[in-house]
Amino acid sequence: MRHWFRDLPIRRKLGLMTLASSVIALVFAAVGIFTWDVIQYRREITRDLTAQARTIGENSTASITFEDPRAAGETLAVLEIHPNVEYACMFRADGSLFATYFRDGRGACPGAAGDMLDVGWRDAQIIAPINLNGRRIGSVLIHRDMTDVIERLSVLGAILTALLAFAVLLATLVGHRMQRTIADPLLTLAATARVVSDTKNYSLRGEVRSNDEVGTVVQAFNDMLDRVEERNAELSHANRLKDEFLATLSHELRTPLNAILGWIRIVRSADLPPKTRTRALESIERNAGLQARLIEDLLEVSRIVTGKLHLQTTRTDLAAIVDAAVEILQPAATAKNIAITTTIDQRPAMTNADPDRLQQVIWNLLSNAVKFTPPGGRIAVQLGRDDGYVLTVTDNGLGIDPAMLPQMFQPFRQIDASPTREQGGLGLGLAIVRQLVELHGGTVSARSQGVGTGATFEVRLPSVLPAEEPKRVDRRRTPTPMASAAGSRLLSGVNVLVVDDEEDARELLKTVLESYGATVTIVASAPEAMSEFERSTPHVIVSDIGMPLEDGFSLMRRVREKPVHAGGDVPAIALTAYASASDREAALTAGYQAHVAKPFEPADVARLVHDLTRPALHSRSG
Amino acid sequence: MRRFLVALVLSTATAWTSAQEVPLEYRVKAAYLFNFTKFIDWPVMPTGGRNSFSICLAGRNPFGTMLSSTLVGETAAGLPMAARVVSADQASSCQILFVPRGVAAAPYLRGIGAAPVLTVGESPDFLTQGGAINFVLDGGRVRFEINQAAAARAQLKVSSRLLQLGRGNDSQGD
Repeated sequence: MRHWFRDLPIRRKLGLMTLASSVIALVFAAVGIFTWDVIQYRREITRDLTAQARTIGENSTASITFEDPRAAGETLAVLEIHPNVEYACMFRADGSLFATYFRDGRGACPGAAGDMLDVGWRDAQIIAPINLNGRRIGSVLIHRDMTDVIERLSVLGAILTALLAFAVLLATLVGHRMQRTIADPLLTLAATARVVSDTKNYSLRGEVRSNDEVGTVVQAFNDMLDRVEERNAELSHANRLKDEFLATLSHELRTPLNAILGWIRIVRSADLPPKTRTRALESIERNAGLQARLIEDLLEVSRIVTGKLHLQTTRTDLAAIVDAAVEILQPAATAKNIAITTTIDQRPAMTNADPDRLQQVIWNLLSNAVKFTPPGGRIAVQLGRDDGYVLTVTDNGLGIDPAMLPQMFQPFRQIDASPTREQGGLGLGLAIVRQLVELHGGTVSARSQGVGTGATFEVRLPSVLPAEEPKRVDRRRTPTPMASAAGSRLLSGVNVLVVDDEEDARELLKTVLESYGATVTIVASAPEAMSEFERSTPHVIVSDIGMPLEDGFSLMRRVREKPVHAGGDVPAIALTAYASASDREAALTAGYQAHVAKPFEPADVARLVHDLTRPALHSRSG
Repeated sequence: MRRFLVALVLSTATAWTSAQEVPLEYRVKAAYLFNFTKFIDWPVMPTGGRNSFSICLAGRNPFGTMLSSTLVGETAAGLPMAARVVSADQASSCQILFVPRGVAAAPYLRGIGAAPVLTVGESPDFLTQGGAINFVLDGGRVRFEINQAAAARAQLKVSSRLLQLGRGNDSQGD
């Protein structure tokens, strides 16, 4: 029954509900009226009979006292005016019949019973005493039929039935009209929804016709469609951007690869004059570096986009960072015959910041300036103060089309612009700059009078009061010659255990460390490393983290479980492509002393090995 | 029917022995004399030492002891009822005066004058002489006629229910 109702169309449901509620209401009303009428009628009859009996009794006292049945009969005959009274009888005090009245002229009186009043469905009867001066001198009986009541109740029933029928008809008509105001918008909405889901045409809209809940539903449906359309547009836009980006990416990755592969073939194929050979190797190194940077930028953007980039803030000297960045870029600028002038108002310029990230910001801005400034140009770097710190990098290079300015700091946007195109690059640098500056609570903006007039980039950072000791600035990626003559004996006498599942990485590290004079043992997995460790405790372990079967964390935990005399405290360096701050944290927690991200700078690793092993060698030698 | 009436009267009478000596007619009349008090109102008067409601019998007593015993314990107008035989000059002190057949009504009616006394007789010309109620026999049954004017003259209020039964009319008598 319930299921039957549940699956009906809304129109039918509403109709049935209207009908049911009106029928129920009317039936209740009819029963109520009918019952009330019956009760009223019984009361009325009771009252009438009592009044009649008393009147007749009063008027018959003399007749009974003076034994005059004729007069009593006349009194009873007054009942003629009540057509429902069938008969009436009067009794003396001793119960003997005294006088009678019969509507139909004749009949028989029942014997005088005790006083009573009975109103039934078919007839009613009263037997009432006749008193004179407080003494009972007789009684009167009146008997009536109920034809008048029955007639009246049947008329009432007929009227109620007619009313019921009429009301049902009216309810159906009115309900039909009213349900259209509810059902029609819903039906229209349902039809629209069906069309939308069938045809995937999200530009359709429902019509809001009322201000009620149905209107709200339609409005919500429309809003949802708006959202779907927006999302679709965004998706297709993002998709287009992604395609463009992938095309650019593939091009950008391919370009250095092209140079690398080309030069390698040339180096292999023939005996080259040393000068050409050097040029080839330089080119290979430069292009590989370029590619590494591309990948680094990509990962950076990915971290920023996914919100995984966290600053490691500390009290930092901004001036030192600016100096360091300028120093790094100086060779590139000199090569293009570009002059860099640095103006720093105050030093030290202390702020709460992540020094690595800030250096990245300045480095990005500077390298951009170098890239877009033609040979013989000028670049001015200025660090000033107002509320906070203001860093400006001004060049007199290509300049920027003012129309491009608002989009410049959006990821992937620059790839559309033709100057960038000519210059190459993914267009991620400025997006990274903006994100990093904003993470520091600062702002970055660009100004340009137009193409050919140069450009100014301005970074504003909040300041904090100078504190006691500025942190030493890490210089990442300091370009160092691969094997300098001075460093070639740096690691002599140091035994290094290298663990890496990739053969190339192993061999590279071995070659690098041996070039610094170290004795290097290489193994391809954590278990091999442990057995090698048992055989001979090295001075230092350099291990990869991501390895099949057992990773570098597990290896280090096993090493650290060993007692000190068995080499449990041997220094260890994690060398891994997992380069995030949390990865670094995990490595240090596992027991590594240092964490170096791949691709690594050979000189950095050599210096790190040197730093870590020096105390051990000293303690051993002394 | 006769026996029935006897039964009725006996039910209101208390003296069985006297009832047997008195004819049925007078037994009914005795009851009626008593019953009249229930349908007639006497004017309120200073008691004047009077301490009973008197049903007087003019000259002679045709009821024997029956009437007296009927009245034992009964009251009218708040006074105990009593029966006695009176002469014409005593009649005005009565509340009801019954003039039996064979006694001349005129001296009694004169003696009463305008005093509030219900006069009851049983002679055909009693109402003409100025009496208020007159017993008649109708097919063996005791009936009565009422002279409403005479009753009014005596300041008596006769219930309409009693008037309904009385066969008399106002044209008779004065």
